[in-house]
Amino acid sequence: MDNNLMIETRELTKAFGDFVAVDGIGLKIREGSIHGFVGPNGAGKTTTIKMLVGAIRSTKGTGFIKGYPIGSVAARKVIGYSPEHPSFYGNMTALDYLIYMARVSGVERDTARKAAELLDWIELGRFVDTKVGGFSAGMKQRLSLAQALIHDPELLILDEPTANLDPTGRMTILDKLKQLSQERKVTVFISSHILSELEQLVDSVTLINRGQIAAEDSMEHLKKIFSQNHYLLKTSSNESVLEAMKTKAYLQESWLGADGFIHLISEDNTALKQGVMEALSQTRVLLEHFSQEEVTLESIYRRTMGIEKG
Amino acid sequence: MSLSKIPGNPLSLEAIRGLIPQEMRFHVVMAKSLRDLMSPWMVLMVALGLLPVIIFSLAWRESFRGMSLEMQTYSLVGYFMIVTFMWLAGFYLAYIISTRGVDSITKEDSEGTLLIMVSKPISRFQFILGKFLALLLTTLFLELVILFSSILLFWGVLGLDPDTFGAVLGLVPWIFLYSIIVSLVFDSITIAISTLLKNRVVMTVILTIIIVFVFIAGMAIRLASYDTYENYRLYYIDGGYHLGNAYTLFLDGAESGRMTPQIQAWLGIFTGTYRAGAGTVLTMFLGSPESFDPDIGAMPPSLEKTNYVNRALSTLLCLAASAAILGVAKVAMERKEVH
Repeated sequence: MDNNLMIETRELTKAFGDFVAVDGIGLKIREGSIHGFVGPNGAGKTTTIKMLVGAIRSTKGTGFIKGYPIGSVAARKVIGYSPEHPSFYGNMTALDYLIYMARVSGVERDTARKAAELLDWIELGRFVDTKVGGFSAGMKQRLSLAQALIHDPELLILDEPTANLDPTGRMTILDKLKQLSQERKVTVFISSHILSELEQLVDSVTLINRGQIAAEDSMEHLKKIFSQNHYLLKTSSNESVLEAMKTKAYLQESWLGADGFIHLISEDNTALKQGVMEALSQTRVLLEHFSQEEVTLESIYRRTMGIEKG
Repeated sequence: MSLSKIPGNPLSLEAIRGLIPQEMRFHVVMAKSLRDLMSPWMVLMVALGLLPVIIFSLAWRESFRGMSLEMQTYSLVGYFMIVTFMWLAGFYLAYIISTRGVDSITKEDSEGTLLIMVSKPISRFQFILGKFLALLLTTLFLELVILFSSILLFWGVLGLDPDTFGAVLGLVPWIFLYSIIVSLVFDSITIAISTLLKNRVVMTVILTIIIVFVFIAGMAIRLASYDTYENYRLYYIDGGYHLGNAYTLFLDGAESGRMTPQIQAWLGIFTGTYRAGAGTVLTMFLGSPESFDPDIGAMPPSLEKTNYVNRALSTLLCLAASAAILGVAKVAMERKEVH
């Protein structure tokens, strides 16, 4: 077992009857990293996360949090978890709730001071004595982050922490996560649908689809891989150029994207460039744009999930 | 400054907290659950518990006042024992446990708070143990209130003589000990059902069936056919019988806990601890030569104890059943999938 791994799973599987929600996932998340966990609805993200935090048991496979079996008290001591739809005891004040969570987590001393500081840090300082039942969705999301942090966990597992938040609320949460990673070296495992924001935050990512890992690597490496052979072409008549190029042997994939560009993927860059010139002269259309694609997490996601191909 | 806050005081909260191993955190859940359970509903619950006592006292007042002091003491002590077994530490106690405890786990599950809780570094068993103990303490507190309130009601409505008052009051510690047994049994059943099931209606129906089964089933079978009850040794699975055995064991400890044959007959019908069919009670109350009238001096002999099972063993069986059911709740909680 790698000592630097914060999360490690082997063949982690969860089935609900005949439906396999998570199918043999193997994760290796390094300590100190901010790791994105991305996939469409129903891909198995939340199910995987719930197995990691010990809320549900795996049907098959194993997993470890810093070497401790997932679901064990020792593993949960390492984890701070914020669910997608956090629920609280509505009749408790924010401060009382955090004190309760601290004591349940084994924090014995200075719980009130610590809870108050955390509420200040998460910009809920004015609401220490407000009943949680009256909190807005954004305030609840921030309180959920606070309860996840109350026992100084080494690993934060966040399921859609910015869902249903306005841009200001999202920025607040993301800024706090960056701060946590930089200052406290907390490992963050985060699932989110807002890829553009996630891209600013994460240094590695796992893409999951239909319960299986579709891609997993550092952002840097993924971008490198996905940009190497990916070109964007725009002409005065995209359809005719695409038609002329479609049959070429050096082309691995080509499609007209919703962005108005022809997407071309080829490992033989020289042949591709020559082919483009030939197609342009053959179809007698005007070249408007030709470049190597600037890869974003969203474009990686689109390609990995097979969106907009062909 | 209160005593508990003085630094260095062996009774301070910090000192007490220090005695609990760090990994033991059930008391945190217990304290929170106690706050949730100790709500204004308790006043309503006390009123509900006292209602039959009030009705009984008012209906009985005239004939009670016409009795000699000795007869008043015997009668009140006896009827208090019956009312306590069937109602105050019986149906009523089981009812308040089930209504207050049925939501212990289910509500946390359905409202989503359990998801965060199970991700925290506290074992699931400690979580339900905290809930269980909070329910136990709440119901026992309520039971004490209701027992003392009942006696005060008797005193107010019936105008008790100090000796009679003292005799009834002397039963309270022993009845309270018995209430602990009842509470342990029904608390564990309620927590187990709350862990195993999700639908509140289904849970309430099941708990009602269990309560009726424990307190009524054995009695119904005995009244219908004593032979069937004895030949098939149904007393082994009759919760009411074992609780009755425990009850008489504790009452034997009370100075005023001696029962008149009439009370033995009632207890025999309800619990099976004395050999008494419907005919026994009818004979005693409808005026046979054996009718009990201490003012005249005619005292029928004590009824025969059935002794199917040793009373201490019955008490231990109740405790063992409670522990086993709590064990089921533990396993169910540990295997529970929280979504």
